[in-house]
Amino acid sequence: MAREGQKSACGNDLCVASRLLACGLPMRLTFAVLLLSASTALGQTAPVVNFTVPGAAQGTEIVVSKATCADTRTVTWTRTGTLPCSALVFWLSSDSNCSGDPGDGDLVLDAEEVPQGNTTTLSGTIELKMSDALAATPNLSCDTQAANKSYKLCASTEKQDSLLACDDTVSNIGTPTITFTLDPVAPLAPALPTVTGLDSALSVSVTVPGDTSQMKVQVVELVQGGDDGGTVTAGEEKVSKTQTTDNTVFRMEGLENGKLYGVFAYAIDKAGNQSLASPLATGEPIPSDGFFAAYREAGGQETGGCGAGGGGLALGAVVAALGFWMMSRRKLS
Amino acid sequence: MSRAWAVSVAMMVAALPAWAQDVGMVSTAQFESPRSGGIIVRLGGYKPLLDDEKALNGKTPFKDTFDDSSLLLVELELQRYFYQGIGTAGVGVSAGYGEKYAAAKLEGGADAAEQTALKVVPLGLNLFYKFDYAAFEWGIPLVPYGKVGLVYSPWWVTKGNDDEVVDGINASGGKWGWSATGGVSFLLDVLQPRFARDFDSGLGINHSYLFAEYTYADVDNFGKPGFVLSSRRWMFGLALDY
Repeated sequence: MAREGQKSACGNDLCVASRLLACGLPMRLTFAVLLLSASTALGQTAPVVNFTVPGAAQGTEIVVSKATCADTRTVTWTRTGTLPCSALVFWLSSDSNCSGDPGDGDLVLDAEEVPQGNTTTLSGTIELKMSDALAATPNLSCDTQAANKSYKLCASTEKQDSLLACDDTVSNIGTPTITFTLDPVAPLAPALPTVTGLDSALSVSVTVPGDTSQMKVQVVELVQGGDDGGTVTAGEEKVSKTQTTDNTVFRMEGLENGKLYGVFAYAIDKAGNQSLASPLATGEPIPSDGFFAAYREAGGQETGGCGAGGGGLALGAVVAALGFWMMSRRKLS
Repeated sequence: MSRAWAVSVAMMVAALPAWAQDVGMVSTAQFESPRSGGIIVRLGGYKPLLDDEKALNGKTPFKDTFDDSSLLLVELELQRYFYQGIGTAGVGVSAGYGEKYAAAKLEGGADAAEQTALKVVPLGLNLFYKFDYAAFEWGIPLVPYGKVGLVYSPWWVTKGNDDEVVDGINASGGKWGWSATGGVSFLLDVLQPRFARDFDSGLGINHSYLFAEYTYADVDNFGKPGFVLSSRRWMFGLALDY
């Protein structure tokens, strides 16, 4: 009777075994019970969810602009471990962390929930919409949000402790941390770019403002405008190019030597917001001679090509013979 | 008597390991792994004799553009030994790369913002002999050597990001030639004999050398018109026997 009472008070297998030991049960029986308990524990593995952002262009950060605020962004997940205590819940936290249960301003992604004890749903795709996340907080929307707003993607469930008892609180089991951000603000306009004339091209050096991931350079035709005909304004785009901020020098090709062009620079942030144009710079492609032009002008007779065909055949034969000889020696050794 | 004999035999057997440890009694050659080839890395200044082309009539476009300075040439050579006796002989193949950048010229001769470059990839096939007998047998750590061989040197000239094109001619091609090289290697093993033995037993590298060599190369399609990529140059590097 006393033994039954102890079991009901304790409530899990390992605990029962230790009580039985304390009550003086035969050693062999105690050992068998302990072994059985351990095997049960070994069958349980702590759950972990791994997130991946498809494309991975932005790493673990998904940034949207006002223009793309209502667009759907996807995150894939895979799960290891079991869910013995509670369901696996995915949610967007408006706080800087994923601790505790979802609260005010957080968005629970009900459609993605995995029930307690589920052993078959081990991966999935989560669809995120910034407009939905903002709507979880009264008076927030894509249109009204004027500053950056970030959410963390969380995956929560109740875990077991070392004695296989379920925790009272949920834990975040998602990794790595995925940040979902609305960036409604475009970067500042770049400063006046430096333009250097090349042969049928322009070299444009830009300065990168803060909060910028890419720079764009646009070469435009210049148009004589105004009543006096003396004011030069930007006309149609001739060519443009976008590069990451690692390379701040642009080579803009396909231009006409001796013609004056206008050049604008733009900064683009991770969300795709484009800044206003930089002040208009101008530049003129200039013809130049490389070494070969100088050589030909001096009377050099080189006309390119791979040289004497006979020599090539001779060398080919020698190399083939050498290869054959080396292979045969290797086989012998 | 028989007991004394047995004690004597036992003492001799016990002494054998100590005798074997006396390195002075055993030639180091007995510990060497077999040698079959070599790997050579070298670098040096390469100044092609482009301005020597007869058709230029004394004009110096290379000097005018590149200020007569050399290209930094880096080469890798693999050798296979077919004779090891009084010295070592074999065949080697090599490949290198060198480039030189300078400002292109504006119409008036001033420097442009545009860059122009000459780039070469000298490829070689050679026969060589090195007199390493003295190093291995007499302990003299200097190894003189010589090579003769065929050279094929692909080249191209760029302006901006692309090959330069002048009068419809794309500035790229290849030149055949020959070369002769003489040099001397310093056997590094003498500085750290034990390390050298470990290098051999661990990696199979028998010997290592530092060397200096002089190359006389005529690379002009055997006297035909066009680029003269011939050179007279010193190269320095590291050689490994394996």
